Amino acid sequence: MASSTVVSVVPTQSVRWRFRAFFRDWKLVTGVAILLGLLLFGLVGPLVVSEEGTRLGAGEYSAPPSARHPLGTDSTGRDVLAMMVYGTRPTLRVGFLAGGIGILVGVILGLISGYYRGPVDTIIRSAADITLTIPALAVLVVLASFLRTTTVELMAVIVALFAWPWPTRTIRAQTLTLRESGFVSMSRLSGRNDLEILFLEILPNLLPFIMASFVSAVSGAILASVGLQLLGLGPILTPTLGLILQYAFEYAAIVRGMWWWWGPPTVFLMLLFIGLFLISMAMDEIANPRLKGAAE
Amino acid sequence: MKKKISVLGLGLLLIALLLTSCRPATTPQVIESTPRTVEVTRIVAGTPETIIITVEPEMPTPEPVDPERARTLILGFEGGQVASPDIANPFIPARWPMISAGLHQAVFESLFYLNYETGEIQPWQAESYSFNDDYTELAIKIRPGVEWSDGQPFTARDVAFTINMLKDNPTLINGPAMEQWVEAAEVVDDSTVRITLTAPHPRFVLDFLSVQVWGSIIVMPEHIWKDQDPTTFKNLDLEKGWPVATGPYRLTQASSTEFSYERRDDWWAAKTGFHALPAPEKLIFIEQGTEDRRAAMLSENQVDGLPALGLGAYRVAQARNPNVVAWLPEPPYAWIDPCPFYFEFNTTVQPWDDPEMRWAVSYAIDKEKLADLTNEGSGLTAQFLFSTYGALSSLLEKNQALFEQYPVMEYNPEKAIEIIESKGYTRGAGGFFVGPDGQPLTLEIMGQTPSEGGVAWGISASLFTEYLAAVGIQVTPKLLSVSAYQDAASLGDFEARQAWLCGSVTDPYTTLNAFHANRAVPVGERTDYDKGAGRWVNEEYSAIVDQVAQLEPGDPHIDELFTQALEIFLRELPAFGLYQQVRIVPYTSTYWTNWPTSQNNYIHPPNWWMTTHQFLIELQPASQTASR
Amino acid sequence: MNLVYLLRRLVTFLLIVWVAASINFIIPRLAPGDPVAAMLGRMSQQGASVAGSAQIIESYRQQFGLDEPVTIQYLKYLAALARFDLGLSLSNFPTPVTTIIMRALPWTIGLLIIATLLAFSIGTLLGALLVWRSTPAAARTLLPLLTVLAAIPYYLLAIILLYLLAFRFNLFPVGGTTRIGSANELSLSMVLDVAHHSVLPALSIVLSAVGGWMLGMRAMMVGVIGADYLTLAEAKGLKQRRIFLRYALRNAILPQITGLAISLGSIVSGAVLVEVIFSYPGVGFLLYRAIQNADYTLIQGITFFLVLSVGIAILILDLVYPLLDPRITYQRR
Repeated sequence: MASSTVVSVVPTQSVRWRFRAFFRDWKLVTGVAILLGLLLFGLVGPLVVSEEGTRLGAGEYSAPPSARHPLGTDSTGRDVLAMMVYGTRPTLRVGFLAGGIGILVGVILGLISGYYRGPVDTIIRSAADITLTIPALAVLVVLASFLRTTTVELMAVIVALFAWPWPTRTIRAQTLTLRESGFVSMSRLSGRNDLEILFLEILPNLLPFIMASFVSAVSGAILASVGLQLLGLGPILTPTLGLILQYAFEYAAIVRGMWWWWGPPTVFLMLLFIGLFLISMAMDEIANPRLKGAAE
Repeated sequence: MKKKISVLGLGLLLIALLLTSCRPATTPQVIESTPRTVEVTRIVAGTPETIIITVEPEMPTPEPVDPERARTLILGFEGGQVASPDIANPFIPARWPMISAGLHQAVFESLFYLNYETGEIQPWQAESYSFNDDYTELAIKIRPGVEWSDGQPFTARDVAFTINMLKDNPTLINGPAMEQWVEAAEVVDDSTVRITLTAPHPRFVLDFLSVQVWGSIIVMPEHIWKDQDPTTFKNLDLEKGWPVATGPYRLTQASSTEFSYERRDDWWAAKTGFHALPAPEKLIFIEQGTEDRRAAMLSENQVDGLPALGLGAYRVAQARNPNVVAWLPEPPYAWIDPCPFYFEFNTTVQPWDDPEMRWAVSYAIDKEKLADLTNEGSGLTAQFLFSTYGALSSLLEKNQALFEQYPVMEYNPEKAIEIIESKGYTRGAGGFFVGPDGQPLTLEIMGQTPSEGGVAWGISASLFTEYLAAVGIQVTPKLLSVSAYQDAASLGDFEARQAWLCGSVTDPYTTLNAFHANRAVPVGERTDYDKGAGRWVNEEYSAIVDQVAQLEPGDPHIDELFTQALEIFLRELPAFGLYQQVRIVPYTSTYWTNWPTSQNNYIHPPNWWMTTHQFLIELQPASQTASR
Repeated sequence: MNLVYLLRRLVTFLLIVWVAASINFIIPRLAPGDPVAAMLGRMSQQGASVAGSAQIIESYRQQFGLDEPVTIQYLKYLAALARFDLGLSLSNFPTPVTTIIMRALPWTIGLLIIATLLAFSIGTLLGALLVWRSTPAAARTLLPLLTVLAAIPYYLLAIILLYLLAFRFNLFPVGGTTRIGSANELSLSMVLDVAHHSVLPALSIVLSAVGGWMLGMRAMMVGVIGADYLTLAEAKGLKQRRIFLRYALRNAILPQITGLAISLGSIVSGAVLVEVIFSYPGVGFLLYRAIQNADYTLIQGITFFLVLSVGIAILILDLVYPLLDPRITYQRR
């Protein structure tokens, strides 16, 4: 499934006034609001909910929600609310870390590849294609088994390994087109060197795409990391949303009707993705205003 | 403005809808419209405890009239999908999991079957066995009338052929074992085999020919195998009727997820009147899938039995399908698997070569909590490294004084700290102990990765880290894939590990022998998997084990010797028991009855072992009126 | 078509396949563990006591050539690949890798590829409709709802569907490929049976993938919407539907197809969980199990197969693309 939005570019205008449209765009506002809300949940939550609840055997086993455990407990006695609250930050951290690394690598490689063309371009493009072709699962399972225990940061790096090809392709495509555009030719004529053109002219125009790609990369990274954890390959000592789901999966929580166990992380992830998606759509529209009038 | 309805609003609506659909809804033919709560009393650590479970509204039972289904027995098999469902050769590694998907339960038979409940070795293809005085010669008499599925008689020639074949091929499973123990296997006459052993081994039949755990050596027909290369022979060709075996069923269809068998009405046992034909005319083994799927299938009577089911899922199935039964009628419902979990040290690694430090670790771990957490509150600790079946259970009871002297089950973190401090450790950064040489006190505990072994390994790893940190030991969990784990254990590339031991079930020798000094090869050389990985050497202990080796199972002297060995073991503590593997083996009596349960314990209940054969042939069809 | 271009693409293709194959060779061997040890380990886990396992492992290592130096193994591997000889599976010895893959392949093609193609087609069409002026506004509001479904991880969607539609409401079977006990002959009822069993797994894939394709297509369409040739077509008086299908859609779809080809490789990885949940004997689960068993030859075989398929798909696309879109030239600028 396409994990990034590839948008055709409409260059020429300065980007600054478009950002002012930020706050008038309900999608962006809502998306950011959701994200901030979830982040707040993860930041404020630990101040309110005790970490004791994330310990194995903290409460009764498989208990439905009650006053003591507002979201009930899982089959290892852990308080689901505590797990959610303490698991939010690591989950978000993996997503943003992996997405961030992916984007950083993607932008740099994409810029170089698209601007300089030639053999460098071929190498980078082929590397991206190869990375996309190799079944991620094989590498991820092997890597995870190679490292004795995975930590959140390690998992982010592993996921980032597969997060960079799409942004690279996208940025490269945009750079290719931008490179031929008027203002770049002007800059070249006025004597600016390549690096200056890359970072002062092209990059700013790519910002909306970069942001859109970043948001997609983050979504993809969270999806991938939760998937990895479901397979049992993620960090096991830190609570994360993926860990909650892994245990729920193993203990057949759905068939047992333990909605308080598998429901909250699912809803959380859904909200997270919806928020990211809204932001991404808003970014698309900033990059390409024609999208605005076209559809919701 | 065009639209007022926002994506978000509709999205939230959808979420709400999804959430409401998760509540117990009313179904068309419902008996009650609200979920009811039921109080269930269970025994936890000896005291009754009442918990409340929510019971879903009952589903209507299926109409019991499908004649096809009523004559078919359907069981689940574990091990996942079979990548290559065309291998019926029980001596090569690729046999698994296909072999336990019906082949060694219903098609192949064993010379003897060990019955855990009676503690006796029941002869089947064989009629009897006898040793000479010093247990260096074994004579096995074959039961008259046993026939292969192609009509040829089953004779001593087949037995001798199989054993010699194994002896000559070290890549075959049990090949090296036969090479080690068997001098020669000779045919005395058509119904007698004489096996000459290289050294006295009174447990030869128990260990290799009687399904001590899971399986045993399966005798192959000489007339089919003599021209084949046993290391590559697949032994499967439905046209030719292969695999040729003596069991009451024949394989009719094999795929990655399903295996079908049909009853052979010319089964030798029915022909000779030794035993009636089994009731199910058709057998199907299907890949059991995930826990959700298993619970669903069992509730719907789509399977008659499964290799395992979790406690919570079992309760769900039970609530929906009142015909579901397991070994015990009350929680924890489970049967005890013969392979308990234990904690083992690599005794060549400092400072764990010091028995007192090992005792400190033992004191630091709350084994009851660990047992409970890995089994939703109803686990069982393992006092010693075998399961508590009849004979072994009484053996442990007789030695309670030793367990009091050496309290291996005690959880006492203060004592642990005392011991460590007495060794000269002082608290350093983070509250962890630092040795007199400045080295921090660390322990790397090896386990399996949850992706292959299940979340229980993750739970253990978390708990070990927590408990040992509380006494100042810094733990690094090392979770590996199954193959890497086995490799590391075998090569001694670990400091401590959680492991399981499939050893003794009726007689303590096998478990005791797992710690014999002769297994302690240097680190870097391979040991025999679950035995000897800790490389513990104690000559006194080994000498006692050697004595036990000479005695026949059941000999009263064994008890004394066991006490002596146990004393040494507990004193040195190269390993200590953690918890029993309890597993619920569920069956449903909608179509078939006379399942083995604790109240009907004519045999032990596993349906993925060769001994399944022994109750497969005893099942009775459920009468139509008793289906509810 | 330029011969130089063709050659260049072919060389790039071969290069990609070689590099990917080499990576596939190296990676499994980096992980600790031994294929035979894995097999025996699994058996010991089941309780089968394997006496003399050390000896068995050593003998098998010799038989499989695992005790040879890695460079020799690598060269032998490359030579075999060139002959399309994928060797014998280590954990299913002596079955050839090709046989094992061929057994699982129909299910993967049947389920995953069809489901992905369905998601792609539906998503692409819907994405295009989202942008087209004459699509009713109501539709344009409701369609993005599908992206909400994309927000649920597909494996969760699979379990939820299993619970709701198979367990709760008994509409579909709880997994497997055919009804338990059905005979294996090819017949109409068998085909229907297989179809019935594949609805839930396919649905979970389609529902979660459709959103992504829809978004991508929407973005593509927008690029095309303001184009001059569309305005010309309208001015010429062509019917809306015709303009939509033959001009707008057709031009916007090209980058989508590239994306499809590339994502074919990740389908198999992604499908693992679906295959596990529904007990579907496809290539994804096979790969997963092969990795657990450290079955080098099987892993190499499956990944090579995937790399080759995707490589060929991309190659064909690269060659065919310019035929479809005359704006793209072959020469390098």
